Amino acid sequence: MFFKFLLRRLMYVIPMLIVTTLIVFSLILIIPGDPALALLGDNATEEKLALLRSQLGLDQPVLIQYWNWLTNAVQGDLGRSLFTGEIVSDAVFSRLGITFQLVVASIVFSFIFGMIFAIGSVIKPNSWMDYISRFMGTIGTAIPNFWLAMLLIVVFSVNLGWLPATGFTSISDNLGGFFQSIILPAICLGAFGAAQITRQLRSSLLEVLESDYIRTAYSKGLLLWPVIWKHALRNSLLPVITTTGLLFGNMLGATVVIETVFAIPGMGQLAVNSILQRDFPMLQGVVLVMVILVLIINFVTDVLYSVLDPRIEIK
Amino acid sequence: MKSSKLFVALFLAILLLVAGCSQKNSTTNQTSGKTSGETTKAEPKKGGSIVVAYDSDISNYDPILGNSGNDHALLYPVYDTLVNYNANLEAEPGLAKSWDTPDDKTIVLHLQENVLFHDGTKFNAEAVKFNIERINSKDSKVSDLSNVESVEVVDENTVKLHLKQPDSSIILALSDRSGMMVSPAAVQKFGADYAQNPVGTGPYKMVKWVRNGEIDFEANKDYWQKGLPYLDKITAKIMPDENTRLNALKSGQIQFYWNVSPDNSQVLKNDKNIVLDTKMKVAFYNMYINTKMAPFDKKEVRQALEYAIDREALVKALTFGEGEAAYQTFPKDYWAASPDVKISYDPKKAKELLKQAGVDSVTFDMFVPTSTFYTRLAEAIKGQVKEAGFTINIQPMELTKGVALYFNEKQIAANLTSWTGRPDPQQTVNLFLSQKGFYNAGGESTPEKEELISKAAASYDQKERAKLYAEINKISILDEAMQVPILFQPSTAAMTTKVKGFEGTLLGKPKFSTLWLDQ
Repeated sequence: MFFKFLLRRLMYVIPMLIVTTLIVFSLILIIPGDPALALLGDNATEEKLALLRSQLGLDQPVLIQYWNWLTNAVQGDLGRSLFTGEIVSDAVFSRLGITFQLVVASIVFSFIFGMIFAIGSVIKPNSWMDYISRFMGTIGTAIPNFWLAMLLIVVFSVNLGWLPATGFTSISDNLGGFFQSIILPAICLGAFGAAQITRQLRSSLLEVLESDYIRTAYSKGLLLWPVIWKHALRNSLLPVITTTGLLFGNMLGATVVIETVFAIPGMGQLAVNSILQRDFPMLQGVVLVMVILVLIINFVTDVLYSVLDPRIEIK
Repeated sequence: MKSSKLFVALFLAILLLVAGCSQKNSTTNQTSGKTSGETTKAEPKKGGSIVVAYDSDISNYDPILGNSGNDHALLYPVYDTLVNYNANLEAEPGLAKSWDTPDDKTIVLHLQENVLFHDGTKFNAEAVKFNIERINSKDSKVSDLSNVESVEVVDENTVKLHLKQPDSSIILALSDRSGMMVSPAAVQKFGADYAQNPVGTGPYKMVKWVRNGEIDFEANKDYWQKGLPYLDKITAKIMPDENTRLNALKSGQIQFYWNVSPDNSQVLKNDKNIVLDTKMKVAFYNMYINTKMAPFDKKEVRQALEYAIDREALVKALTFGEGEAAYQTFPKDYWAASPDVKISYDPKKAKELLKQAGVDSVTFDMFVPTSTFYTRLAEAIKGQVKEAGFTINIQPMELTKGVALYFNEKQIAANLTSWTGRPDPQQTVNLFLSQKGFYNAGGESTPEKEELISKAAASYDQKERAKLYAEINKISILDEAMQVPILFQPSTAAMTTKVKGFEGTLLGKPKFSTLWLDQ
């Protein structure tokens, strides 16, 4: 059963990958300024341009160029950067780890704080805890992440000197360094997520707490905490899982900004630079990996549904 | 509702308090810092390592393949150049300890002896021949040496360059990409992967490169210049956002950063923990106009535009007076500049010129890159030229796209970007002012000017060249009005008080390898 589900999911993935990479490929060739121009700069004589274009295969129709890229990609060869000559797959995978750690840390942050605020809020409606939670729910959605990043850097890095203003230490290199370098970026990237989860969980908890089986649980003499923890939370988590799945893709996009502000050499930065330079083998590599990541997350989300609520079957 | 407002207020108040208190702390630190005057030149100390922040990653570690003027700072530590330039952009010995020109079509280079590449192979005349031929090869993206016909190895340490036609720009071009000597053995060994494994003769070896992250340089212990380099290690962190660089410097993560904006330099001036180094450079902001496209196909319209811009006001407003109005292609302290070229701000004259051209008002589209400074500059110019009758439609675009539209596809008449400057004035004249120059999108020129340009190319005498450049500039900017230079802006480096040895140059490209730590 599960295997079939997996297989069918994979069948969705392939056309999705082809369509996204084709769109990106065409888009980058449509915008004025092709890689040959970007590479040659002021040495761009007609001769040199023509030569370079034929070397890069840019003189061929878009579909043929795409087909060439695709056939190589299927064999695991994503090509080389047009600019630095790096092997694309190496460059992308070396950054994937960094961005992945950043995004996962942000998701964890969002989840923990979202849970704390949401539960705190429903325990005693209209209490100070409820107000704080609702306030955080609003402010997390409203504050632009780059602004929050600058504010936090000025306070915690420049003035207090507690945390580094820039850079990234991988979890495999140094655990302490990882936590120090990840706290601020994770807060900035996760603030929006924490707010979303707070709002979602709060309203679904409130709804669930009104239902009959909760009243039954209370009437059996259960206390507030066991009721929330054992009975209400699980049933309220479904929308949260959906939100988290969406957040993941959202955060991958937001890394573009956060990685620039904190000078973290991740995928977001790589994507931006590749676009500006028209380095399309590199950009295709980044897009490919990002799409696969998002599809994997969607898949995991679907599986989690059925774990949380056995009534949802995997078909 | 009331209490939520209270929380907002409380939250913000706490933040302000934290920010406020800690500001005080940092001011008290300031007094204990820098006391010894920076004017006294201390003896450089050896050892230590520093972290510098730079605004963009290298486009390619192979000098013949890179395409960005920002690359040099990251190439210099690894590659020595045949010729060096001093702070005033005059040629000095490099890997060539001297050179002479027996006739105007021959350049003889006498090379330093006992120089080794990082891979242990010998630097000699054969290596120079290999490099120059490589620069002129098909794969190369550098065309500064296109006038070199052949390279002759005279002996182990002497090379003769035979030129197709006289070209005085070659000597200083050898301080640019063209003069960066790569190891022939390494090129053969690594092939397509050479750019990942650069090997030069420079004071530092590149040991680690995380693209858009950081580059680590380790001292070259066998460096041919005794006593150099001073530092054991330099790490260059790539930080495109200036606020990021600034915060990293203030929080002590880095000790040096390049490219301080005029706004921040005003603030940092008063910070006693930070030393600034400001030096005028040959790059300038320029409005490119296509002389073949309407409305700039009429000379009077172009001249009117020159007079309609109040450059002094722009310098004051946008660079806090640190910049310099650009009336020619060179800043006034440069040997190639002419002292008496000036374009006065004269909207009346501009209006008259427009009348002569047979129009009352002129409207045109102008490409402007999407950065803050360019946007401000464009808005200010737009406001100024309005009085003379010009209406500018600002077209903000991403750089590659805008540049392609203007220079290659020639679909937009004006372009407000920069001229990035070159080590030799002849390079600027060739690319920027001559008829065939890439940056002369309309191909505007006169026979008289072309003759002067060839004359300057054939002269190896600085004084004579300076006179010729003055005339060329006068014709190009005042008479033809083929380019509209706006302003020069110095480049500024910010560093902690412990970092010494930085020397800004007119080229505006930092050399990290002269840095040392006073500790």
